[in-house]
Amino acid sequence: MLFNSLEFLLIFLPISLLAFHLIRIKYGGKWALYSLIIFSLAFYGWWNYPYLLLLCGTIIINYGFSLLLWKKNNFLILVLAIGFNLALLGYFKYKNFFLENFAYIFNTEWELEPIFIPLAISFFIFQQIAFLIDVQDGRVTRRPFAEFTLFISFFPQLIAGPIVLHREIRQQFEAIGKNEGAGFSFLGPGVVVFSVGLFKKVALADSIAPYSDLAFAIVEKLTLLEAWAAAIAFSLQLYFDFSGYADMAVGLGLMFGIVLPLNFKTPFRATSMIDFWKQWHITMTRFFMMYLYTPIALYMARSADERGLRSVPTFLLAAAIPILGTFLLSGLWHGAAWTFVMFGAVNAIGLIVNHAWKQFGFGKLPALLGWALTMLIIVLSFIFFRADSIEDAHRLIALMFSFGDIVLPNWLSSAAQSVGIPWRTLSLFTTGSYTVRLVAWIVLGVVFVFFLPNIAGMWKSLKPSWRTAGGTAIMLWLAIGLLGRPQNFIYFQF
Amino acid sequence: MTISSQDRILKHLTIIFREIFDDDDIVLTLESTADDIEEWDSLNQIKIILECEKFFQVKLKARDIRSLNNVGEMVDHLMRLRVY
Amino acid sequence: MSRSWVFFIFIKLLASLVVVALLVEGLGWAVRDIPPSRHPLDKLVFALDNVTLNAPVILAGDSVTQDLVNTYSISRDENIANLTTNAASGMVGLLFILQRYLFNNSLPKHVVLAATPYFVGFVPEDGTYETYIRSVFTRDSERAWLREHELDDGGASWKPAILKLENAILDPVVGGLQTVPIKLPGKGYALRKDIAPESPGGNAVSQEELREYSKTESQIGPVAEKAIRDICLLLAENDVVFHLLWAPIPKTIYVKWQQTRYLHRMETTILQAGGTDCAAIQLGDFNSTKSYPDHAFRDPNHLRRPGWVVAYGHAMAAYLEGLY
Repeated sequence: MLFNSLEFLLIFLPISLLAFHLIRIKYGGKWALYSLIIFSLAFYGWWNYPYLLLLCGTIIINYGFSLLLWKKNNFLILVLAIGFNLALLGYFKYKNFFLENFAYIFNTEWELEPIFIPLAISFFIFQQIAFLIDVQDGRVTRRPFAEFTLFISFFPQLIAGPIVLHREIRQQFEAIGKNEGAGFSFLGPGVVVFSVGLFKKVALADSIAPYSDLAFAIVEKLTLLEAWAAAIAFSLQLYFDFSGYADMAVGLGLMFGIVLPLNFKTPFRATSMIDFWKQWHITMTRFFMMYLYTPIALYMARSADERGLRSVPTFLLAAAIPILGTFLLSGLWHGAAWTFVMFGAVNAIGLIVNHAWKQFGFGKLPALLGWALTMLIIVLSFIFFRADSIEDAHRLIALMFSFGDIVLPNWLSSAAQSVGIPWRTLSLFTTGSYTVRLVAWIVLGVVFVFFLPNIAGMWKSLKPSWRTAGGTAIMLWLAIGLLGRPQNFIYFQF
Repeated sequence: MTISSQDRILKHLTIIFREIFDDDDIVLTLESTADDIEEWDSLNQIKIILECEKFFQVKLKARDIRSLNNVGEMVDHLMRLRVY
Repeated sequence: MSRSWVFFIFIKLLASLVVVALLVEGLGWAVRDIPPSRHPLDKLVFALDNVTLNAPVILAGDSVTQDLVNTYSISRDENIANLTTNAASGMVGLLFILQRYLFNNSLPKHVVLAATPYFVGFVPEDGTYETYIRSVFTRDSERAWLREHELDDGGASWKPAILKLENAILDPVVGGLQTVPIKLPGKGYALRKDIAPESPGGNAVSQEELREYSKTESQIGPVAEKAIRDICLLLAENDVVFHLLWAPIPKTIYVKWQQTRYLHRMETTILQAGGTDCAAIQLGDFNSTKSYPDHAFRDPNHLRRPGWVVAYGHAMAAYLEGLY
């Protein structure tokens, strides 16, 4: 089930919300939490019930590993547990990727069955890995099985994050269990935050999607301006798609009286790469920083220090390499293809340059320039994220910088002729009205990027005013009215 | 009035931060986080840790410091290691 | 939940939802009669209802011909009524267009339809049907025809304006801004004699695309057949000669279709579409007098500009010459 579907909005959400709060009031928080487990499993099973067995299986097995660790805090057990989880993820998501590359190296052909990736597997596997590491760290004392189950399957964060750390939610669950939770107090702000997210996803992202889908399907036919339009349109689409879903997650959590961690701030206003990654997919960055980057970087930094290396080699060893490794892997986490690895690589390079710039004292750039450079790198990396192949991505990028090859569309033929620029029928800017609409969506997207506040981050300061009500009403209507279109949730395939 | 170990640690952390970030105006409180200090990113985090190890003569493990969210937690951790 | 938030959800939010919906509904009602101007078909239909042409020859067809006639003048303005469309409205659209034209204008002597086989059999569905037929041809007689041939299900379920913003608000508003000037396209460039047709290369269509396209042999379904029949009837009643010619087709595809007798079968279906009236159709083929090589096209259907379109234009002008 998706948040942006009628069955969720009109049936599942009202029922689960009502049931949870009624049970909480009548029978106590503990029973309400149990009901939440049932609803969350039903939510996941709705999509494809065999994979519900997979989800439950991982929960049971990982809880088993946790029991072992609570009994005997052995690093080897942790290694085994993580290995098991990664192997599972590798099988369900990366099997074909491995096989294809294996075949390529050894020059053989393989029959590959189409893969049907279990929904959200990357998210719930990683959340469980984080939990296991926290257990081995000694940060998590022994918890009941039911709590662990709810922690992993809680439906607002199950499908597309945030990746929640146990410590962020344990006290909230405990409080609810003791009937000391937030109860209804966050329901109002939750509705507002949810509506904003729904609007971003349905009215903005899904409206831009057809344009970028078309563009990326005909990359070889695009011209300079069309290529820029395609890249910018997709970047906006991805932004609203994902931040919309992140907002909806927070909003839904609030409706149940639970505060989930923020996953998005306003990354497209960032003025540096470092700043960007503090605002985009925050919990995933946090996961990789905490569990991958920090240990490696610390080790490298220590060795560099012990060997008395100078600043440049130290930087390479202790910063560049860990960043590169971390981002290549996080790129791969997004999808089982080399294009995603390239997405990671481009971001890694941008970050390394940013850090080097800071480190070696080249002075601070003016905000506008910093913003422009950052957005350029991000947009380029997003091209790899979306393109069907690395060749397509390279082609599109080459087109974006082929400044000598401006071609105007046929509906501007008279203007083109008077200025001496060639014109012909284009494949993306096919008609004037199509182009105007595409540009209008881009402009609208940019306006929202800069003027829509980060409601999910500032929900505490929301006021129950007529203005809030009006804005929420408009966003809800727009979203509901546009709900029937075929959807394409990008972070869905994770 | 004796200065508590917490205050001493905080004072020395401030010196370390100011040195690493090359900014004498930095003021640390127990609530300071990476959001408050622009220069505090993942790279500088590592430097801070190494510097703390040298200054306080302790070994900090990745597992302990990987999720220190704010200065207060760093101070707590250092206090647990009985640096003072 | 604090009292103010309870008040927010049950009073302010609900009231806002209702008020916004009502406001939009009101706006939709206010602009309901403004004809939309979303695409050239909207503009054509609007022009037909407001402009008289009284031309001796009607030229119809899909975008292959539209490309030509919208850009170049192939005759003096008063000789030709340019009723070309794109493929989306098909023969059903053509029927309605002809009906509307004949309603407002003096009888032409000839109706010349120059199209691809695809156009002749095409009947739009779903979104295309909505955009190019249902929301364009809204007269009772047209609705009745559509219902009779099961394209329309009669009462379209009522949706409040707020749930179909684009159709109810945006289109009329944009339409209202665009309805001036009212004219049919066609006052274009003169057909020059000195433009050389393009050679291979450049934006010529690829063999791969042609191969894909040549696999499709679209048929004339029952609804399209009925539309053809009714067009024949309409024209026969009014003593108008109906010409149907195949527009230029890439040589490879044309040869293939001749081998498989596809074009011949289409012609037979058309001639037999409505009893005796369609038997009188004057069939023709622009490809028989002149060969249009593969590299004359920028995609499987459309000719490259300006050279090959002008070449087509000369052929068209010559054909029409004798008809005025």
